[in-house]
Amino acid sequence: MEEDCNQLARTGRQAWPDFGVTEEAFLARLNARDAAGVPLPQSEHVGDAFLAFACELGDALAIATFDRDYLSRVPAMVSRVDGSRSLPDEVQQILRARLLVGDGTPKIAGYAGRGSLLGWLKVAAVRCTLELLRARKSEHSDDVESEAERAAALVSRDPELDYLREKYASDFRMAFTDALSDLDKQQRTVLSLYLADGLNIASIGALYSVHRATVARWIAETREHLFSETRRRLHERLNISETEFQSIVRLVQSQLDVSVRRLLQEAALRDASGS
Amino acid sequence: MDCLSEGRIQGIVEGGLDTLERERAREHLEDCADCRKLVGHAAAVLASGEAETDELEPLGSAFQPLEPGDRVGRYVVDERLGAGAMGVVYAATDSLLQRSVALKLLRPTDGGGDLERARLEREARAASAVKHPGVVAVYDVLATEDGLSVLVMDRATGISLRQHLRDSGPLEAAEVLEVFTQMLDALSAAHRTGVVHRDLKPENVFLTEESGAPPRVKLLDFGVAKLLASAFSDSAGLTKSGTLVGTPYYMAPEQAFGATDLDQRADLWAVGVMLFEALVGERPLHGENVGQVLHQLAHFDFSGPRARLMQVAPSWEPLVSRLLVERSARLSDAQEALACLRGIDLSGEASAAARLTDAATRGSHAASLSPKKKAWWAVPLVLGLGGLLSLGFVTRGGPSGPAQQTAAPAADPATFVEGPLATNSQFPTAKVPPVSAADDASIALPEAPKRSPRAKPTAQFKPESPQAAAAVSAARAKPLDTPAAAPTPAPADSARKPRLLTEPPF
Repeated sequence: MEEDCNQLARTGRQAWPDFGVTEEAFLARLNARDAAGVPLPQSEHVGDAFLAFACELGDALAIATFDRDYLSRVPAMVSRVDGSRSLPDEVQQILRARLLVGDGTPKIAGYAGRGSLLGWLKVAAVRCTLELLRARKSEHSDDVESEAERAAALVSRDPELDYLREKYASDFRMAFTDALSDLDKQQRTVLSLYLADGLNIASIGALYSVHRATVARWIAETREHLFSETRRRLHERLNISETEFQSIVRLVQSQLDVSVRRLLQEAALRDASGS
Repeated sequence: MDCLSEGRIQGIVEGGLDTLERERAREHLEDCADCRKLVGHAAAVLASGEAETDELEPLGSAFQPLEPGDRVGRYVVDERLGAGAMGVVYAATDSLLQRSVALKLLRPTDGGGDLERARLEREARAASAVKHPGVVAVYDVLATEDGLSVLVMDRATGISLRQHLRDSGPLEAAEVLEVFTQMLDALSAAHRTGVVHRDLKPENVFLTEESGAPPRVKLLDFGVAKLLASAFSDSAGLTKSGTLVGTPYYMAPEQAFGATDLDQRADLWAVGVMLFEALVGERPLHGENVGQVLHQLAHFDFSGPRARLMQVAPSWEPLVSRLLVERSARLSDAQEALACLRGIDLSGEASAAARLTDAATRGSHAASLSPKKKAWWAVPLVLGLGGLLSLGFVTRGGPSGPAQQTAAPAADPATFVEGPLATNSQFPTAKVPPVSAADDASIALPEAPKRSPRAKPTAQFKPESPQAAAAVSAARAKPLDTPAAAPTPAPADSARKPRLLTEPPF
């Protein structure tokens, strides 16, 4: 392991020979992390780790490099999360302060070199963007709600279904919420990651150490379970004709994903405001 | 509980978390809607690649050839060795450590800026972290004032597997075993450090014979293919203009069709193709052009190649068929392949030579199956001389474009730097008696390969011999365009070839 650290330190330093940070200093950092049980940088990212380390130490050239090659790209990253024009610059400013100055320790020290520095920065940029958006949303209207409503309106273009939805909205909601609460935690999380948060099944599969086909099956099963449970509960609740019920079933089917998304997001908002 | 760190989120999306970390991440995500949302958005932004950078500037620097005496950092150029798809290779001397190195200048790419180049250089440096006797060392990565990337590499002595196959045709089973055991061992070491080669082919497999050292297989250009491919495009092998970087003959289907999640199995496919080629004498895929090769890849059916393999080397079929197969069914790593390789019972190959001869008379490779077929380490005379003349360096030098890639193996222009060996018909290799099966068997012992006493270099041909060195330096001292009394006709594109190629060795 000692040899690994030596090699990594050498490679890191070779990547940035002009910085005023020595191989020995970097080696000391690697050894300290290693001793603390923190995984060492991946060999392909050790150059990034050296750059981050030099920034943390306040090396002027390193910071200039980070500014020029990394922070300058933040606005483009942010615009993928939020289309507004003001946010990207704001995020860049905040990130710069956080990563290079911080409160005591520059936050760039948190980069361990296990993935690329650029990827790490993207995550930091997205987090910062979402924080700003959350802060704004709590000041303004409930965007989540209206977004879900808009999505629901797009799904249903059938006047009959609209009528039913309106008529049985509260029953449907209760039946559906009950069915959703029937799910176990993992089912809910997976469904939420997939439907509400937009994580793809490959990433979910990696997170749960299963093949993505398994995740796809989980999601299909959870959907099916939600659908049949909602249907069963509605049937119990409503005393209506079979024809009308079949229409409601179609409604449930068509709105399932929108409903899941909406309810999960509402739950998330409740969690956030309660915490 | 603290929210997931940037590194954890990145790990969830890009992979790389260990079991415990994944478990903790899952537990946290179950309770934290903010982190779930962050993971989802981060996945989208991370998947967006580099496309969001519209501030990349074109490199804008034309390639200026280096002259002897020019300096690149602390390296002084001795001479040009050759050029290939990736760039130009020079012999140079490290003025600090006083050792010989090879400099590989990568051609300017058509889409990168300083920023992109910096990233690529870091990737190349990372690849250089693979330390294994079976991997040609990359000492350093530099940039010239013109903005070109320069790889500083070890200069080894020997020939490429391409050259060896061209000279000797299919290899004996014992030699195949030795070469591929070493190859897989080196690959395994690289894969363990997370580096995938992505452009393995006989040109990149170097058979060395350093004086006093046992023969070794060395793999060239680790990580460089990735560097090149990403310089040209986001996809694995296709350039922006839709042409392939590298040769498609050794490319795994998933790589040829632009999978972005390539892993070590892509290299194992290439090993499968080379193994097939080493055993059968021809590649499993045929094609007049890239399109035809890709078409075959898309509809790849091993039954035809299998039949050919069964005729000449049936014991190897179980291994080859598990390499030349769609990714999900392929052997998962080099260690697994190595285990299969070691399990092969070569007693079934006793009459391999006879079958090979049969195959030769059937196919178009009869010429290459001449009786001179021998293990590479059994011909130190040729190797030593060739290594000396070429100043020991063999570059990847893959064909630069689809048109060249379609060249038949016998006319493959890829190994220009091996020129001196290409002219080895002048050398008395034919006079070296064929190595007997018994010699091969003893040579095949991995620890102490024994040379055939008959193949010992004479003083005249010994690389270390002062006479040979003097002859070579005399040849080197001649002006480039001396109308040398070359016994072999100068190749048509000799201007692009190393000077020594067009000159007589003596």
